[in-house]
Amino acid sequence: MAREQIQVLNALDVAKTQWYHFTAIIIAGMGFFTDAYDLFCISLVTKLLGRIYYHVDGAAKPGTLPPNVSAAVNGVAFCGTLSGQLFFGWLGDKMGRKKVYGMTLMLMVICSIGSGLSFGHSAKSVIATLCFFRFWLGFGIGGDYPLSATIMSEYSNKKTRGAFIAAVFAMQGFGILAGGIFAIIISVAFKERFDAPPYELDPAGSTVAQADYIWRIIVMVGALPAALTYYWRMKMPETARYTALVAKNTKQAAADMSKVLQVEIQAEPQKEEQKANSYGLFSKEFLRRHGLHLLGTASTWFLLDIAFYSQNLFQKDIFSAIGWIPPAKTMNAIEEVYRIARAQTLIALCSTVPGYWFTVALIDKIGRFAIQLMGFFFMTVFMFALAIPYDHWTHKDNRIGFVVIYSLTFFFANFGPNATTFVVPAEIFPARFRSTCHGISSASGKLGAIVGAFGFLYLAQNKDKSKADAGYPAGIGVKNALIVLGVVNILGFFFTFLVPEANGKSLEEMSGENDEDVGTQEESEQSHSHNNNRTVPYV
Amino acid sequence: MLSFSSLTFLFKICRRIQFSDLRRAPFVALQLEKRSELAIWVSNFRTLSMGNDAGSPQGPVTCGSWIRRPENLNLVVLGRSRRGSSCPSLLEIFSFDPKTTSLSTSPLTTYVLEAEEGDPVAITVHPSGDDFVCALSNGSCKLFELYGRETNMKLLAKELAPLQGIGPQKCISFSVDGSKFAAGGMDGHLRIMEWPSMRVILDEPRAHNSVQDMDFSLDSEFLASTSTDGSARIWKTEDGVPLNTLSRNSDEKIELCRFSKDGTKPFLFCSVQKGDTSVTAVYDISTWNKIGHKRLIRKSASVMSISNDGKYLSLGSKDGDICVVEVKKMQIYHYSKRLHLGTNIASLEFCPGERVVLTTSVEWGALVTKLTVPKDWKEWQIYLVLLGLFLASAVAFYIFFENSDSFWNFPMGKDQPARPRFKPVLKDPQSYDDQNIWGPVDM
Repeated sequence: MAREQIQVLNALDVAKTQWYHFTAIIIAGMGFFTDAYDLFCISLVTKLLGRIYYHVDGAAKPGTLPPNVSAAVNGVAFCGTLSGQLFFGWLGDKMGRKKVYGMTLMLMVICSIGSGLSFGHSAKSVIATLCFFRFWLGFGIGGDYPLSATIMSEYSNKKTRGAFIAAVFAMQGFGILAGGIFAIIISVAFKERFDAPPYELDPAGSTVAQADYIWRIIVMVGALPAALTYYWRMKMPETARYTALVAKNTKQAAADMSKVLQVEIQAEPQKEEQKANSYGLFSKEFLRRHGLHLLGTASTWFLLDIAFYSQNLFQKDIFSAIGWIPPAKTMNAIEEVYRIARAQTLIALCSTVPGYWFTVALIDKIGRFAIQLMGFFFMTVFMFALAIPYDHWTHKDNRIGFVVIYSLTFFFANFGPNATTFVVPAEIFPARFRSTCHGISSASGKLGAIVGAFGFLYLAQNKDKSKADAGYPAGIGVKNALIVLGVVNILGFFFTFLVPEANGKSLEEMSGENDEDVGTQEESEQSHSHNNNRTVPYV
Repeated sequence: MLSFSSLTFLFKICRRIQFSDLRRAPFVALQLEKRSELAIWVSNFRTLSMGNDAGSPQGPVTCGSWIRRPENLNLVVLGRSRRGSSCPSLLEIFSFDPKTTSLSTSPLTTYVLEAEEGDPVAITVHPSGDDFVCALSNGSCKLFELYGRETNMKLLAKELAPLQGIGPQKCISFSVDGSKFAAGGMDGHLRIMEWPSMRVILDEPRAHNSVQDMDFSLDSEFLASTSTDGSARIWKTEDGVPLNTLSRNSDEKIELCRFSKDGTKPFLFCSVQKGDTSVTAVYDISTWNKIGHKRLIRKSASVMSISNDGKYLSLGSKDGDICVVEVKKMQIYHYSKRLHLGTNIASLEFCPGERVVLTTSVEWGALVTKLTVPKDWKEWQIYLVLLGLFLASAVAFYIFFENSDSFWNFPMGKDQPARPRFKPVLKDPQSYDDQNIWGPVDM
């Protein structure tokens, strides 16, 4: 058994792209699949939670979560993600990433199940328990996310690394899709079994008692992909690989080692070169050379995640606002879940997932910079196309057009900055700072997610307080909220220029590996070629 | 430096183990159909009954290795050479007790080598832990398979046709992934083969003057080999092509080599003799340039080893010292002076799962030494920290829960029920039919 596993790893590296690599993509990508399912399934059930636990007798509209509770339920997982990323990052350095990996997945399994349980029967205890376990679920996801990236780089084929990494990241789209499909299945099954009148006919009867099970099942099923991820990861052999070579971090490793050794006396040019490379993180020299790069990568990731997460979490509110989802009072609780899930799944199926795979196919051809710039550009265009003539879209006849254009913003988010903001920070910084700068950019993205989760909810409320959902202050309306998101995308577009512009690099140069790596690769090839030609002398 | 208590502790451990070693009685499988075996057994019995034998009743230990078995069980295989006519060459398997840091007092199983097979020279264990190869002084290599559980373990010997009569092999080694096998001969002949098919990848009679040491890289892509004349070469294991010769000054002799086992540190560690001084040099395996060097062990190094997780590097000297170095900082964390008093250390190896090393020498036999290095985080300790954080946040959350009525903003006050009160409604058939968007059920 052990021998077979070891052989698999050997074949994984030597062979050209084969079935091994697709298996590795699925196994490595399960981490992202799980993360996406767990993070986004909550948006499918928040309306239902409002109906069940915030029902007000005699109200014209079904119960809704108050703004602070809704923000807490949606956003607490992202706070956990940030904390978990820091904690498990420290722990991984302490005792090796493989060992902590089981802990993150175990945490995710336990807290997914815990999210569906309650301590006590009152509404307060149910919502409080959900928030508590959502935080720790996010904590586990925060630990899993960088580990999935690490395992991804460890198992990637050396030749097609860019497409491989993008393919693994694209599993995130399938996670979102799976959440929606599962919610559709559950809600259709419950609707068939427990029919009920719409809210406006029978407020109390429109929420059947069994509706309580729907949100619990949807949330708890998140444990299943986490458990599958754990099972498949444990079946893979111990990584026997110089990850530094695969991730092109050899210079950093060598620099660290040279600090603890007596270094050979070197000729003057090398000494000068070494001195040029000796500046530290956040030193003046670093800021001069790479400060704008770091600002560019961190800000674009931050701005993207504001738009990306707010749109993913609050799609249903936009759909209701333009009438694609009927007013809540015309549906019963289960039907509302079904329609929300159907709408979100259609968006994921037709735009999010294809966007990811367009990136996989083209990222090594047209380059990261062009994809990111194009993505932000079209997101901006389509966002304004929705927002400025907003009244036009609210007419029943035009809502299909709205949905089409809205879908395109998701397509270009994923065939665009959502993928490239993950890839680029791992490539443009010197090896010594690569992992740190990637971590800083990633943390900025998480902050953007928190801003998106908590901010959009308030902005999108109707200007007229009487028309806003219960407990909400007057907002700026969906139209103006979309305009704000459009402005965010414009900022992302312009901050993208920070990445290549500081070095004066052209688009063509940015589309490939940076000069440093290209030089190393050529050098390596020449050396190899030279040695191949040489006969074996007697030593 | 070692504290006095650590030194005392180590001394006690060494004395205890040595005593056990001396008392260890030979165990020879009695096979009635072989009269010569019976004669040997009788001869040994007679020797022991005298009680005043001047020398050890067993042959000296020439080589040893750890065997990693399932369920975190670690065994040790020792090779003993012949002593006189009454003590044959042996291979013995011992179990290791991590609680007492000692080997079992009697072997789990023993294999007696025939006189014409010669003595064991080197042992390498396959990463799977199921078998190992032993190089013999008669110029052949034999494969030994381990069968059974700890209580009824057996060794089964097999011939390896491509390795018969190839001359004495100084070093033999399996690659980290277990898919390749390499043998370096005292005549400088280097062989790399696929395992277990034994297909020849490299068969180079003039690789070296005489092979001194060799090691596979963590990813099994390279083989480094050193020669007694001080040169070192790098081979590509995929096709056996020589890749590089390590750079050195004219006064330097590269003697020992070990690849890093930490995936984030792509280095090759070499023991280099510069005149009378022995230093450890570090090469970057992406460029094969030397990064630097450091003096670690005081005498000339005779053996080098690296731990399975790549954290520690160990050197054994020709005077019997060993030192253990943390790789990240290249600092000495453990130094045992004259562990094998005044004797060349023949083999040195880290235990797969514990901070313990096995060392062997001809004079002192096999010793296991617990290392005085910082304890690793145990997995249960991490779970404890995590559980502590979890419970602390649960307490904080509960306090918040009890004092946060205004936050949850329930419209019906503190005792908001979990769901709307369900009112039973009798539906007339027509009303039910109107609400069923799927049409009549009877269809």
